Amino acid sequence: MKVLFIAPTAVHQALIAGNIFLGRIPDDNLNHINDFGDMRADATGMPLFIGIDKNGTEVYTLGVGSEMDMLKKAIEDLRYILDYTEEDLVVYPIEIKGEPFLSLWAKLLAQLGWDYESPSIVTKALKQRLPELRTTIENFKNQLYN
Amino acid sequence: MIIIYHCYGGSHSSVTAAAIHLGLLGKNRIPEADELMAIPYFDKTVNGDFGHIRFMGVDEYNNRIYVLGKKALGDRCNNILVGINELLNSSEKVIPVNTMTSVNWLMKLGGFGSRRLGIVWPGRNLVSYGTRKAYFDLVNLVEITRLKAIQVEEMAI
Repeated sequence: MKVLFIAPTAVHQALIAGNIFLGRIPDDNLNHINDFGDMRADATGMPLFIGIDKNGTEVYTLGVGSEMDMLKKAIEDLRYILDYTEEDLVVYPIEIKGEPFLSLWAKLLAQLGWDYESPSIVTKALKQRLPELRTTIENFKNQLYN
Repeated sequence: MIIIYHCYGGSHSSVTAAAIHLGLLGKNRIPEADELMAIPYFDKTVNGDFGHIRFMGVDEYNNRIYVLGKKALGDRCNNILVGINELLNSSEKVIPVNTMTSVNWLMKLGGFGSRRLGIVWPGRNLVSYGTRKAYFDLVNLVEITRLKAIQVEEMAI
């Protein structure tokens, strides 16, 4: 099975969610996450492979801009057209409080050339959302495996 | 093979391109407004259709033709669709085609009026006029796509 976390960018909340799913952020230090805030990794629009969990589930993230519900629909339609099901690919949108501001800020700074790491204001804001994200991902994992 | 024509609303340029591809509209003359209106989905989509990949038909090479409204996602949509296909390890090839490159301001204004504001009569006339003006650009885009599909098919053999 494959899990795809979608969010406005592939390298912020979706990447954190993917790493929580894989049990990889024990110290809450977001800067230790591979590719975190690196907008160059998000630039192509291709899914980003994060890792595989102990059940063999492959975890990916994808940046889809502000239209997450619309893109979820499109990805699920394509999955159906290609003759795959939810058993093969689960699409999970990551929505957090203050998202439009965070995405806008990250994208604006990326446009100005600050695209290689997450600006500290964005990192700080996302760190505050960590407990909320952990709960969301734990619930999702329970749903997925039970 | 799967060919997905996509534009902002999935209602005008993508639908017209798909209709040209499928031979529902001729390549050598500009269709009348009522011929455009007779195409499935032309200026008929609603808000809930955004993001839905809708089937238009099968061409003579057995390629399945679809249309998609993807709002302002631009060319990123191409990579997302191709990326999902690769992620699934599908043996099927997907060719996404952004038809926004052929869209003129008359189509944008008419489409916005008809679909977004609900001012159907003037919006529809304007978008039909704009589509007719952009028609041969769309024919050209479809021809390029058909050649690309043949190339991709040959490379796969």
